[in-house]
Amino acid sequence: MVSTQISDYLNRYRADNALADLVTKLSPQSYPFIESLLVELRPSLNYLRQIIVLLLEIAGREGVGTEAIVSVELWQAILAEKNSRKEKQKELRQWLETKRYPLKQALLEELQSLQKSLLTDHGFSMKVPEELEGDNLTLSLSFASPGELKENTERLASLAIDQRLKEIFDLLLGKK
Amino acid sequence: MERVFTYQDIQTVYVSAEAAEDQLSKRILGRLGTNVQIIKYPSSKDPLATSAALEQDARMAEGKQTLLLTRYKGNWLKACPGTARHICCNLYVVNQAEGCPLDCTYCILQAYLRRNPTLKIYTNTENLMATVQQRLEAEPSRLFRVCTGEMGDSLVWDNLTDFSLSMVPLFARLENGVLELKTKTANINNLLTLKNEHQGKTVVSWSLNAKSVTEHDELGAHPLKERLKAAALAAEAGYRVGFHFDPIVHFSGWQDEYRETIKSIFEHVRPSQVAWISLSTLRYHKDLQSIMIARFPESKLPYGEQFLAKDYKIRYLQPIRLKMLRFMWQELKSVAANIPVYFCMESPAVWRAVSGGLPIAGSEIKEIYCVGRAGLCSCNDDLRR
Repeated sequence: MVSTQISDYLNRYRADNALADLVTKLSPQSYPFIESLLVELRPSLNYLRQIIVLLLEIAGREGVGTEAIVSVELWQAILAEKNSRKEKQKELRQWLETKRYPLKQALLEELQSLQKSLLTDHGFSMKVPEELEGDNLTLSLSFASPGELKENTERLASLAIDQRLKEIFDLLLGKK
Repeated sequence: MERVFTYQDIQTVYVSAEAAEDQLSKRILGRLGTNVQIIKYPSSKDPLATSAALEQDARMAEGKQTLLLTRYKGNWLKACPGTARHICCNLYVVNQAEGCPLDCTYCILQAYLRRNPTLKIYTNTENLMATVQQRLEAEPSRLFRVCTGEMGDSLVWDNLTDFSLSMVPLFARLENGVLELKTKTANINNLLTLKNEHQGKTVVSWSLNAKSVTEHDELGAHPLKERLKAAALAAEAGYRVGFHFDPIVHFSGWQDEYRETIKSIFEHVRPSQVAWISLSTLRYHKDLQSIMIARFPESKLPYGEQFLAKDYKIRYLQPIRLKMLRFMWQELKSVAANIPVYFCMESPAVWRAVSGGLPIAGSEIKEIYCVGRAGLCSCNDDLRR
């Protein structure tokens, strides 16, 4: 039996059956955390759905109850920060995504670090493929004169031989 | 302790009116013995058919213990549908049965057959054989690789049906056909009796995996060791053998376990006895995920580092997929450089990234990717796109 506070929330915002069904899959010991989440962060139904799916998947992955995932200390620390409600929501979701997809998050961090350092050194911002699916990097450049284009070409040439660019491809192609 | 499926697990057999007098029905009922409930059934429709989503999981479990003997009225021989924008290995499929009594957590049949979960064996096999023969003889310049393991395990029913006793000699006679029997069992008794008849035209292949995957996610299948022992016996009887690593699963310690399985293969068979080995990482239709979680709450497979791709299939992230495929490819090639290894339903980009080129470049896999008979090769144009 889902707690009254959660039921009221679902009813008030007309949650669909799928979300109501997901809530019932949480352990009852998780309800205090969900209730606190509803009060403190006033999430949209979509956000709530994302958080519950993450909790259930982490629990399945780690073989633990959903109540064991977000500790009281972690939750209090997120709430104590001087961030906006939206930023706190983002922080919680990112923390859960890192726990659910540790390799993906580590890969993204490594890629972002390489992209950032290449931007600093060569001045080009590059995009990796969506969901890391594919082997094409994208960059765009604009120029205001033939001279600027020539300058860009020279910077591109130095980018092409930068070892960090090769590292990005190695990460995408599973060679690292 | 792994529990292997036996025919005693079948509780009920429905016999459709049209199949009642078929010789195969009588043989199956005779071999199942008296502990099974036999129900004469006026229809050929699935007796457990349901469209109610809530009932489907329970029906699926009941379906694994229920068998329908009926006749098949569709097209027996079909090209494997493959996947759009992925390289196709030109396989043909023929299904003498539908549904599988083995209960692999990742099996797509759970989603595909969820509304019609009863196991089915088709009893008009003379018609199947005639259809296959006619089709192959009508196109003598085309090579047909025909597999029976699309809608269920190729050999799981063989001790009831003796299907292999008809199919193997048929393909021995057909010049442009190769039969592949794909299994997770060790049911090769019939095949061993045909050691002087198969003429090398039947490949017996085993689905293999890391030991922990076979133990936790392939319920009812024979343990890895028994599969490999059976492969050794089949190879000794002169059959070429195949192996399918599908699905390759990502988990902590996956390299060690897959390396161990690869090592075990070649402790049982020589590379020269291997017809082919296929590789494919775990992927499944989105609809299967909730079924897996509901039916197998202990399985870790739905919780890997996967994402929902545009084709509505859940796959590991590309860097993980490529790392796994590259590892398997290199481990296999380190044992025998010319062993025929191919990827099942992978993109040209994956072929290039892992094997260094498209499959047509490797002569050892010509048998898989050429649709023409030896000397009459008419290679698959798709590979060049």
